[in-house]
Amino acid sequence: MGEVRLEIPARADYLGLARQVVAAAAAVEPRFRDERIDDLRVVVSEATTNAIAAHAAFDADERILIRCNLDDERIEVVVLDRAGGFDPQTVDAAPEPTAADRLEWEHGLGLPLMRTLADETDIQSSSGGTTVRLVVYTPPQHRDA
Amino acid sequence: MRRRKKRRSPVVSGTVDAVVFDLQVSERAGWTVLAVVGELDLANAPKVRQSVIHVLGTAAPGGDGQVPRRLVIDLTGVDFLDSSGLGVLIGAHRRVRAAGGELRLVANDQRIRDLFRETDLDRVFTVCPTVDDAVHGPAGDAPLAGGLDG
Repeated sequence: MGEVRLEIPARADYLGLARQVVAAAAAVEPRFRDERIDDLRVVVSEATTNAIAAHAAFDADERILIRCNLDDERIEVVVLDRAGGFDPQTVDAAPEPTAADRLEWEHGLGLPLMRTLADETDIQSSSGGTTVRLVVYTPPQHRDA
Repeated sequence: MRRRKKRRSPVVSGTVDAVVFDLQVSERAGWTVLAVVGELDLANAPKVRQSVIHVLGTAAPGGDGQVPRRLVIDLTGVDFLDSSGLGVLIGAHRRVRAAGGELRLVANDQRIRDLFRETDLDRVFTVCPTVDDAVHGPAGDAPLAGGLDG
């Protein structure tokens, strides 16, 4: 399969379109189980949400590029933005569920969800933008299903 | 984060469909039920946040405005949830508690329930399988009393 490319404005109302296009691309490969496509929808949503949020704080007129490459055992999705970048190592983790201040944290779940649901997650970020590479295998590679 | 066990089959369309989002507020057994339909993501989370704020600003059913608000957010009609949606639910929980009220969630879709487990939020929320269970369940705000395992 060739590469599927989708370029969207950095706006939240395009999130659903991004999910649908990536899910439809993965569904071309019949070995992809439905729950894996569900995982893919979530991780793409998280990466694209982060890109939209980054542009909101930087330059909302820029566009977000989503590239999908599918083979018979996996799909690789790359989400690229041109916002100001961030250091994924310095993102604070949410407090423990029993912590008194847990309800003060409405954010911070996106990166952990990507790392949990995708089989491979790689984030490269600089002042010129962020590239998030996500790989989901037809059967999961790193966890019991 | 914990790992999942098994999940329900999803619906994945090969076409780009129009996305519907809707919020319905009703009263039931002394609880306000906010039913969410559609995809709960960054695009729609603000609508839920505003609705919760509105509900908390109005009188409780059967009360004089002094009764702590008891709120159920029904996610039965939610076909997609991500961290933006989870975040707005956390904010709702905080607001309801600050108002002296109680929040319960309803979710019966395995995908949705898995997300609560994977983010450890099953230890934060009371999640019930049906609205009936939510409004007639035992009093208290203990997370997941008979919830995700029910």
